[in-house]
Amino acid sequence: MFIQSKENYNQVVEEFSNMIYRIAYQNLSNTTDAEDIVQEVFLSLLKSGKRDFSDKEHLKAWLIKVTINKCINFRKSFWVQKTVPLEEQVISYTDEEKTVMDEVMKLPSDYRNIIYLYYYEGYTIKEIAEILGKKQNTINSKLQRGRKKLRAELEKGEPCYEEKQLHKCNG
Amino acid sequence: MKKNSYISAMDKTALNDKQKDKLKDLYNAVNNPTEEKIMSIEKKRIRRKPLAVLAASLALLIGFGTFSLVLPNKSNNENSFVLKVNAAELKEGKAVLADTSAFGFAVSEGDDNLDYYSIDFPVKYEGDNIKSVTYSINKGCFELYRFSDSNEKKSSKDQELDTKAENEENIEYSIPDECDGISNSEYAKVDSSYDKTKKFTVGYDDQKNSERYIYITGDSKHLTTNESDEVKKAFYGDVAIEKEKAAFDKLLGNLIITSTINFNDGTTKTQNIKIGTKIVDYKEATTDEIPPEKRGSTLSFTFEIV
Repeated sequence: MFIQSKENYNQVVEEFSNMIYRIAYQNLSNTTDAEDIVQEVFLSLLKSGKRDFSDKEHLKAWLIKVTINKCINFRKSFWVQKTVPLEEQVISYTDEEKTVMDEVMKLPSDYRNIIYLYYYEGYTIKEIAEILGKKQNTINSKLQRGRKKLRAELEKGEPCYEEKQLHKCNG
Repeated sequence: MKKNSYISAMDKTALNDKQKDKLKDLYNAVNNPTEEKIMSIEKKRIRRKPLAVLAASLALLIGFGTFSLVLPNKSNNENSFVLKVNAAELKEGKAVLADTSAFGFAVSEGDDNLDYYSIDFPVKYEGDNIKSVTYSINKGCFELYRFSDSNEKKSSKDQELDTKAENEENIEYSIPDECDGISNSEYAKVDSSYDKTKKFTVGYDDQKNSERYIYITGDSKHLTTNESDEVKKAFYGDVAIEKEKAAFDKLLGNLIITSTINFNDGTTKTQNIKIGTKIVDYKEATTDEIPPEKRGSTLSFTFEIV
């Protein structure tokens, strides 16, 4: 699967730009910076030339990895550390959504990414581990810690997942 | 506040059509650079105001000065200490249950077929003239987490690995799971967002830091193949709770944490804390709300001075 035509590229923009934006926003807590990251990611995709993605999932995983890395590099850059964004678009969350987002944003960024990929994109722990190049155990424990910090709010009513958690899954 | 709120918040976190059109224009901009200018990130940012930084520094200095003035003079008190697990006082010869919340303990299987455990470490010392406490562990290691964006400093290991992020295909922004390679003398940076260590020292006042979480972690590497199989059956199968306890006991082995209380006058006191298991009623094990289907016995973890 190549990005071989404008139509092909536009399709990718339609399908994945929001996902990239969400990951970037969760990492940087700023809509303006998130927009810049989306632009950077698509530039990387275009500049990657005839990169052959085996299928859509492969492309998606690549975009996730590149987005996270761009965010890491962005946060580290001297310029970003010494400047503040000029304008910030406000997302009109409800009170409840804002409360959840505020809690999520307090987590370290790698936790946020795992929470996003697990809850929003619906990836399994195994898949997240593969995408991020980490062990399942790492993903498992980070998801667990993240959820703990979120005061078990997000997974209310959720079934147990792969790991065994005392009092929650053990009947 | 539910998972649905997170999903709907994320749904709203989206680009509008105009922004998407700009992204689509990139195709021409890359393939024909003269056609479209790409706005640089720098243009959208302004420099931070140095005054704000100065004001923050002054506020810190003033705050620190005030704090210093009201510090109680403990020098007249005698050295004393009490070990607490959550709110419960730990006395010699009597095991105290960990107040195990739903996430107080977890086991999981790694790609390497080993089983990993992770236990909350809700331990702190209270007393007079305590300067700091040093904890060390005889097997496995401690995991130290700090949940705060304002303090989201990366440990030295993270920074080292972060440099690999230059290569977009090679994402490495965390440190490995295993406790291997951590020497007994290695100290963690307790102010980092994440670290693993066999030994760490925490200041007396810093023990109350609610942003910090400490866990004990380890794996099943020390078990024989048969023992490991038994442990897996117990963890991931449907077995009697007694068998589950036996499996946990095997996995934990003789897990001892040594705490050294460092007093202001330079003297120290040492205590050994053993981590064990106990079958208890749900009500006894946790302060969490217990769903009706979860009533009955469960396994909890105990801390005991030995």
